[in-house]
Order: sequence, then structure tokens, then C-alpha cells
Amino acid sequence: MNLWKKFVLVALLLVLAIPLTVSFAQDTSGNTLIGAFDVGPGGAPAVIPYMDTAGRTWLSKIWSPLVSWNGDISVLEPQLATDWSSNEDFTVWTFNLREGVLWHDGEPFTADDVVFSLNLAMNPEAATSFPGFSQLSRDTVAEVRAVDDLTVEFVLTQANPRLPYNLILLWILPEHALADLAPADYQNSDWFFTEAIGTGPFMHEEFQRDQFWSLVANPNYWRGAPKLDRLINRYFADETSAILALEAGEIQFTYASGDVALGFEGNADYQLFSGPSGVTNYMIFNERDPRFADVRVRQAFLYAIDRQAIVETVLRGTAQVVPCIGAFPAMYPAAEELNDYAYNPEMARQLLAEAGFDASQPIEVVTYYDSQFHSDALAAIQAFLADVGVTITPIRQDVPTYNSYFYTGEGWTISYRGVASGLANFPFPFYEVGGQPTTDGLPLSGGEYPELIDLLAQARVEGDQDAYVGLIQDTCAFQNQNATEGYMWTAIRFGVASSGLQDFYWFPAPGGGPFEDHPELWSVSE
Amino acid sequence: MQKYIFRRLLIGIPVFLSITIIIFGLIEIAPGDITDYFIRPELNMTNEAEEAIRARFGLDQPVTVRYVNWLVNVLRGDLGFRYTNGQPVAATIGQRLSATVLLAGTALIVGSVIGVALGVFTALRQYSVWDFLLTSVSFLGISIPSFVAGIIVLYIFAIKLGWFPSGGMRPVDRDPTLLTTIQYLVLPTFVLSLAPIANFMRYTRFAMLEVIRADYVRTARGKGMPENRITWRHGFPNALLPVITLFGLSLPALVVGAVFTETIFSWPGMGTLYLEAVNGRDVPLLMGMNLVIALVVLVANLVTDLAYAVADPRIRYD
Amino acid sequence: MTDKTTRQPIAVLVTDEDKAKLEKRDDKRALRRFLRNRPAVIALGVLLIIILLTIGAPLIERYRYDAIDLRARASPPNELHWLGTDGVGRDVWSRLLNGGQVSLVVGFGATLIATLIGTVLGALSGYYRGWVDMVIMRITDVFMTFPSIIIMLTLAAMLPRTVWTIVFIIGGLSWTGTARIVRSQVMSIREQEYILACRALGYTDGRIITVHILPNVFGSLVALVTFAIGSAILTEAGLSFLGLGVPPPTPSWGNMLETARNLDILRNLPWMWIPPAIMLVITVLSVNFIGDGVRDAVDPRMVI
Repeated sequence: MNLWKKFVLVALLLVLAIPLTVSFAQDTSGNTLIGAFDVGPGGAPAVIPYMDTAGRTWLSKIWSPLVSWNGDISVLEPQLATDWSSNEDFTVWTFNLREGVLWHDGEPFTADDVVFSLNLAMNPEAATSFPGFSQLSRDTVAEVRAVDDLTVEFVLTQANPRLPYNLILLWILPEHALADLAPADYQNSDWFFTEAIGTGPFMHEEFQRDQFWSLVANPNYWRGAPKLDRLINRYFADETSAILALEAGEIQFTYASGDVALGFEGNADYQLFSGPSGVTNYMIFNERDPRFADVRVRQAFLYAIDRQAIVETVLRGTAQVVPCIGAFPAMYPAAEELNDYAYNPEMARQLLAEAGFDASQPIEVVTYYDSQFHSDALAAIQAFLADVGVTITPIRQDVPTYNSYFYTGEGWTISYRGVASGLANFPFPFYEVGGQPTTDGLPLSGGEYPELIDLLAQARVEGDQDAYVGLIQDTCAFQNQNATEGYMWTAIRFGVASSGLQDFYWFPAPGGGPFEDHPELWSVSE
Repeated sequence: MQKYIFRRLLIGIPVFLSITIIIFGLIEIAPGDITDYFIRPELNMTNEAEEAIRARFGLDQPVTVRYVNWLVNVLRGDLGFRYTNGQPVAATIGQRLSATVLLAGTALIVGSVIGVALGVFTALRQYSVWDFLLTSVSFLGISIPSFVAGIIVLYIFAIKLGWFPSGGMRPVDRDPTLLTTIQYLVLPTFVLSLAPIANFMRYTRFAMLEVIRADYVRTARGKGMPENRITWRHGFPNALLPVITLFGLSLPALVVGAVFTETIFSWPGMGTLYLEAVNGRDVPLLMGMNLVIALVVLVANLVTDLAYAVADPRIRYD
Repeated sequence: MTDKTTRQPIAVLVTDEDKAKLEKRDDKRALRRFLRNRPAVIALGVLLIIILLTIGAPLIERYRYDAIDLRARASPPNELHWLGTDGVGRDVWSRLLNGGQVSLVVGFGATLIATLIGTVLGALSGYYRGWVDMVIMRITDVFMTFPSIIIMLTLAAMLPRTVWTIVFIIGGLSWTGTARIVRSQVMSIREQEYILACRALGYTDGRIITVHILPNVFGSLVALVTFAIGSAILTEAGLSFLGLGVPPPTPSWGNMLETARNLDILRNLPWMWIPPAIMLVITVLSVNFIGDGVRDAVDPRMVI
């Protein structure tokens, strides 16, 4: 009998003693900032940073591009380049580089590094995704050469009035450290996680995949040494675990989705950062299904869904209804040129009847989103459509499954997705990116709209900024009036930081920017 | 016995082969491949970039060629490199496996020790209040999904009380020690051991009740042997017999439980890695992981069967 | 130390040959013994109530389970919505009832399939031993070592995502435990004298297995089946946790519980996930208690 009691007692004591032995909450005295920089739309880093389609907020702490976005991604800001200019027809661009920048190992940064980096990023043997995302490939760039130590010249095969925007994804890597590595060997190299060298404000210290990546201050950073001693990125499986770690004081910053972030509002222990995500959520109607080739049907779907009500209630105001893809209001045309498709189920029913819509055929709405935000939104869309006699079946797929069906145009009727558009990623709306067409028409569209392609082709080579904005507004008006897609909303995204962080800054730039957040000024107060 | 072991190992080869073929085929049938993983839906990618990736990973070759290549490399001891980030598969698995073995192993040891102890305890007090209470709690243990238990435990002990870290495996701002490891281990181990505790307890309880009623125990009692001696000399060793099989049977469930537990506690183990591999259609990693999982379970089954044979002379292998 | 009466063997002087004759009488006795087991009877009552509630959902529910009401979204329990509403204003009470249908169908359906496969393979394997045993056990090994997640992922992506697909996926992948246990039971029973006697009398293998062996496995099978029902219900919840369960808007306790992955819901909207969690646990608990009672009644000496 006593044996049992002893056993239980000892076991209990052992368990209870563990938390008392040492403290595990992080020690803030060392001026260390630990954050979850890759929670939410981020992700674990691939080997070569040109493969990373997100997580650039973190990568920009180690490496720098020639130019980046400014803090709210409205204009470009010089980084390793100080200024730039082009010839009259935008086929030759010259970049002047910053003087006195040192690599983390003390070697000077020169124009040769820029030439090396672009050639590596475009090299098919390295098979990076850089050409796919930046539109810079051996087809569009004839040559890049170092004029002198601090001047680089890009010679293009076609006019590009906005080349600097395409260059924000080009991390400059050190030629002296990497010249011996064959391009084909990059994908399996561990250099980027063991001896990475950059020109950024922080230097590589230790990387433990899926656990953390710690950096130490770069005393030679060209803007001055950072105030923080160390900066650590912790990786979490999901947002919930990151938020819990934030509340437990283990980390001081994380991304947060709207509903969770709202819970921190007015709490003096935390500071909230927010901004438009630049990602437009919309429904692509697969016009291979002849029902959706009829503009009245597409318009009826917009009338049937009370987008404003969904934004205000389900999404609790953490999104804005959009008239088209081109998520930045500065690029929207005047309101009178746009149809706001205000909620009107009567009109929707009437349009569907006129078009002779056959509601008996199944409508599968596929999406890759798995957040509560989007599943609630889809449930609401489903109910609104049911109200006008249209039955849809939402289906969630993982990203590879989704992509494998999406690009063939088979196996789905409507695709509920998001797209980083316009300013957020490139100077052009997504339509102009030469991606593969979904059906036989535009990339990321369900139909064929030659007028739209024309407008975009004009915009692409338009050198005058006002004329360019005018053309982009025309594309918006065209999309809107023809209901080419089912435009929904653009979400506001949030970051939550503990109030102990001084001069900290974060912005929900698609893919993480890179944008200017002055990490050298960040500090942790007691 | 040696002949039996040798035969079992020999039979293991076709089992392995069929597992690898089936898995390779399934990944092939599964929609999407690594290229689709690299396309971020909210951005865009050109056809050329996609083709480059596809060619880089040799996906333009027929599936049979890819399988044979993989197999030949495995026989040479080369598990290849991950598609998603180019890291060597063997090193990745080695790192993650040690984390999972630490977590699942602790959970299994804790679970079996506590479970067997409680099982004997309740069996000796059949129909008592303790028996009823602990049996009910054990029912609860197998009725609560690990992700619900995980979230609740996390919320109470890491957030509200702040006794334990909310996730991860080690502190990121200093080197791990034995003490920190234990701290990070407590909550996930607790959640992961709930099911083993309940199962071991139930098995042991039934087994004990069985042997207590057995003829030889009655005989022993009839001879006037003291109860304690009967329990520990005659009852317990025989009751352990069926419990041994539970070690082998627990493994797959433990792997599944680890997927959820590791996700909730951000434990960098095989469970979370498996989900990553599936989501990324990371064929080399998936194949490597399945190889390891298959090996572990097959060996565990073999060991269980052998232990069974050793413990029960009535069963003979020849 | 322990109540002596409980240690008394139930049938003291039963010889192996008498066993079969006693089976019929045992059935009635088993029923009486089951009815004396209070927790099991209560659990049976609870389970029946749950089944009736879910089947009768269309009669009891006050709103359709997929009717949204954005103005009443995320409202706590009140007199209109007894268990409150979810993120788009759907009535949690009616979703709970309808979700129960799905969970129970998955639980019972998948278990039926798994038990059939497991019993047949396990019995063949344990009875014939030799190469039959070897082949079947290797197949079992393949299935046990198989990562069910990837099969579920592949199948869920290829097949239409319906409740029945989930039933077949879970059932078709979870028979290995049953097979191994039935095999070990059969293996030990076939060593007993009365089976040897049966063989000496020239009974066919089919008759020996179905008439003389499987009925003795019945007790352990009942316990197994109950566990399997519980774990099938839990597996469905787990699949939903990974986003592979029953597709919306069809509710299941699993996909209702999944919403608790969202911290805001976990913390501020507990009425959305606590009811399905409680129902899930109560149902699985009841099922397990019933199995326990049945096992005690049929053959208390049975090791699970």
C-alpha cells in the first residue's frame, strides 16, 4: 500500500519541481530581439534566397538589394544603389553604387558583385525562381556589366521604364565567397546557412532549420551599427503557437491574422502594426464553362454577394471591397467610371434568368486558403449564392494540388484565390506578368480579354508616370465593367509586437518586401 | 530461433520493396508536384521557370526511371536531397528523428510505466472506488483527441500559469542543457502519453484480472501463499505477457499522435516534417521518411513477436 | 484486500467440450450480466439519446444548419440560439446535431468495414498459420507501416470528398489492429483441446473457425469494435484538423472542432468548439463504457 503512495508522491514532486528549477522565459537583458518573422505568409527559407517567394522581411536583415520599397511600399528607396537613370527609350539603365559598403567578412562591395548576382539569379542551371518572379531573364536582359567599381549598366532587349522595381528581388551576393561554387550546386549548398555573408545590418550566427535563425549586429553596416546585439527569428508551425509564445514573453513580435490581432487592440503591453496586404481576393470564373462566358452571369454573382456586409461582419472590418485587381486605391479610376455592384439579389436573379443560367450543373469552388477568415467568407458567399438559387461546393486543396488543377483549367468551375497585384510586387498589375494562362487567355484569369492585354501592353512601355497611371485606371475600369473576375476584397494584415520594442517597424508587404524598416534603429527596453 | 529471425528479416525485403513502390506510385498519382509547390498562388511564375525546376529535379523523366534511380541510390546509401530546400535527406531525417525519438520514446516509457502501474493497482482493487475512478479516467484518456488535449494543456500550463515554454525544443538565445530539455519536453510528453497510459492501464488491468483467476494462482492461494507474493511472483509476470505486444501496437498510433502534438508544440520532429514533405510533394524526403518509419515498425514488430516467444514457451517459432 | 466474491470463477466445472453447449445459455446470462452493469447501461442510454438526437435533427433543430445570419454572427448562447452562433451566424445547436450524424456514420461505418476485413484476415492467419499467416501478416505489416496520412491525402484529393469516401478511407486503413489481435486470439484458441477434438471429428475448417473459434473471439471483438468506433470518430476529427475531413458546409464534430485552431475562437468564442468537443468525448466515452460492459458480460476473462 505504502509503495503506491510513495511512487505517486515522488512522481508528483518530480513533475512539480521542473518549472521551479530554472526560468525559461527569454532573457531580455542582452538586448536581443526574438521574433516570429516568418509566421503567416512567410515560410521556411529555401537554400538559395532567389528561391524564396516570401520571407523577404527576414532575408533583408542579412542581404540587401540595390533598391527596395520604402516603409509603406509606395515608392522605391535606394539601398546598395544610390541613384539610377536610363536612356530615353528605357533600354539601357545605369545604377550608381554606394561607396564604402563592406561585406560581413570585411571585403569591399563592388559592381562585380552585382553583375555576379544577376547572372547567377538568371542562370538556368541554378534554376532559381527569380526569372519567374522578377521578369528578368536572359530573354529580357541582354547584358549587365560593371562600368567601374561603383557603376553598373543593364542593357535590355526591350524597353522597360520601371526596371528598378524588378530589381528589388535581387539580393546582392558576394562574388569573392561564391565564385568557386558551380551554379548547378547552389541548390544543395549549405553556405547560406553556415557561412552566409551579406551586406545587411545583421550577420549570420546560427541556423537550426525549423527552429531558429540567429544573427548578430554588423558593426560595419553602412547606416551605422545596429542598436540590438542579436536578432533571432523563431519558426513556428502555425500562427496560434506563435501568438501563445508572444503572450508567454518568449518572443516579442509575430504576424497575426485580423481576428486575432483585434484582440490585442487597446492592450498597452502590445503595439499593433497593420496595412493593406496588397493581395486581392477574387473568384476566377472558368469561362471554359460556357455559363460563365456570359457577362450577365458574372455580374449576377457580384450582385448576389453582399461583399460589404461580409467585410463588415465576418471579416470584422479587416478588409476593403475592391472594384478590380489593382489593390491600391491610388490606381483606381473615379467612382463614376465604376459599377459598385451593391448588394441586389433581385437584380442577380433577373440577370441569371435573362442569361438562362442552368443552376443544375455543379459549381465547385476550389481554394488553397485554410484560414478561418477565408472559410467563413466562403461560407457566407455560399449562403448568399444559395439565396439566388445557385449552389456552390467549396473545396479546399493544398497548394500543389490546387496549382496542378488551376493551371490546366480542368476540375474547377470557380477558383477563390488571392493575387498580389500592381505596386505590391511589380510595377504592373499581375495581368502583365508573363505567367501561364489559366485557360487560353490571360494569366490568372478565366477568360480571354484581348482589350485588356492591349491596355497592359501600352502601360508596360509607357514612360510617363501620369499616362501610365491613366492606363492602369483604364484596365481597372475594364475589369470592373465586364466583371472579368469576381472581385471581392483586399485584406488588412497585422503584426503584433510587445510594447518593450523601441523604434520597431513592420509592414505587411506581399512576400515580405523587401521594404525599408530601419532594423539598425530597433532596440529592446527593459 | 536464429533461423526464424533470419527468415523474418528476409521476408522484410519484399515488404520494404512493396512499400516503396506503393508510396512512390501514390505520390505520382497525387495531384501536383514540387513545381506546383514552388508556385506561390498569390504571385506568378513563367512557364520557362517552371520547366527549369521540373528539369532540375528530373521530373521530365518517366516515373519508372525515377523510381529505379532512387532505389539504386538508396542501395548505395544515398537518400538524396530534399526538393524543397536542397538539404540532404539523411541529415534532415537524422536530426528530426532524434527529436521524435526523444519525445515519443519518453512518452512511451512514461506511458507504459504509469499505465502498467495503474493497471496492476486497479486490478488488485477491482470494483473499488479507485478502480472505477481510474478506469473512467483511462476512458477519458483514449477519448480526448490529442489536438484538443494539446491546446488545453498549452493554454493552461504555458500561458495562464507560465510553468512551461509554449513550444519548441530548446531556448534560442542560449545553449540547451538537460534541464531545459526536460522543461520543453514536459507538456508534449504529457499530451502524447495520455493514450499510452490509458491503453497500458487497460491492457494490464485485464491481463491481471485474467491471471488472478487462473488455476495456478488459485492453487498458489490454496497452498496458503501470501497475497503479495502471489501478485508479484505469479500474477504480474504472466500478466505482462499480453502487455508486451502493446509496445509494437502502440508505435503507429504514437506516430499519428506525434503529428498533432509536434504541430501544437512546434516540436521539430518527424511528424511535422512529414506534413511538410506531403505539402511540398518532396519525394526524396517522403521516401526517405517512409523507409525509416517502415524499418522502425517492422523491427518493433519482430522484437515484439520475439519477446512474446521468449515470454510464452507455448508459442514456438520454427 | 479485495472483495473475495469477485474472484470466484463464473463457471467452475466447465470442461472444454461443454463450452459450445453452454454458449446459448451464456447469451441470456450475458444479457442479464450486462444489464446489471450500471455504467454500461447508462452509457447505452446516453448513446441512444445522442443517436436519436442526431437522427431527429430535422425535427429538433430550430434553424437549418447552413442558414447564415450575418447580423447574429458569433453571438453567445441565448434563447434564440441555444448554443450561440458561429462566425457567419449559423446556429451551433443545429450544426451540432447534424455534425453528430456525420461523426456517427463515420464511426460505425468505418468500424464495420475495418472489423470485417480484420476478422477475416486475422482468423485465416491465426488458424492456418504457415505461409497463409506469413503472407497476411506481411500485408498487415505493409498497411501498418504505411503512412495513412499520405493515402488519405491522395485519396481525399482524387475521390469526391463525401462522408462515404471518408468512411471507406478510414475503414480500409484501420483494420490492422483487429487483424493482429484476432490472429493472436485464434492462435491461442486453436491450441486448445476442444478444437483438436473438433478436428479429430473431421469438422471442416470453415465450421471450426466460424462455429467454434470466432464465437470465443466475440467478447474481445466487441471490445475491439467499440474501441474502433471511438477511434474512427477521433480519426475523422483528426483528418478535419488537417483540413482533409468532411467538406463544408456539411458540419461534423471534427470540422467544428477544427475552428479552435484559430486563437480568437479558441479564446473568445468557446461555444463554437466546446459543444462538439464535449459531444465527441461523451460519445466516445459511452461507446467505450458499453464495450467494457459487453466484454464483462460475455467473457470477463477476456484480455482485450
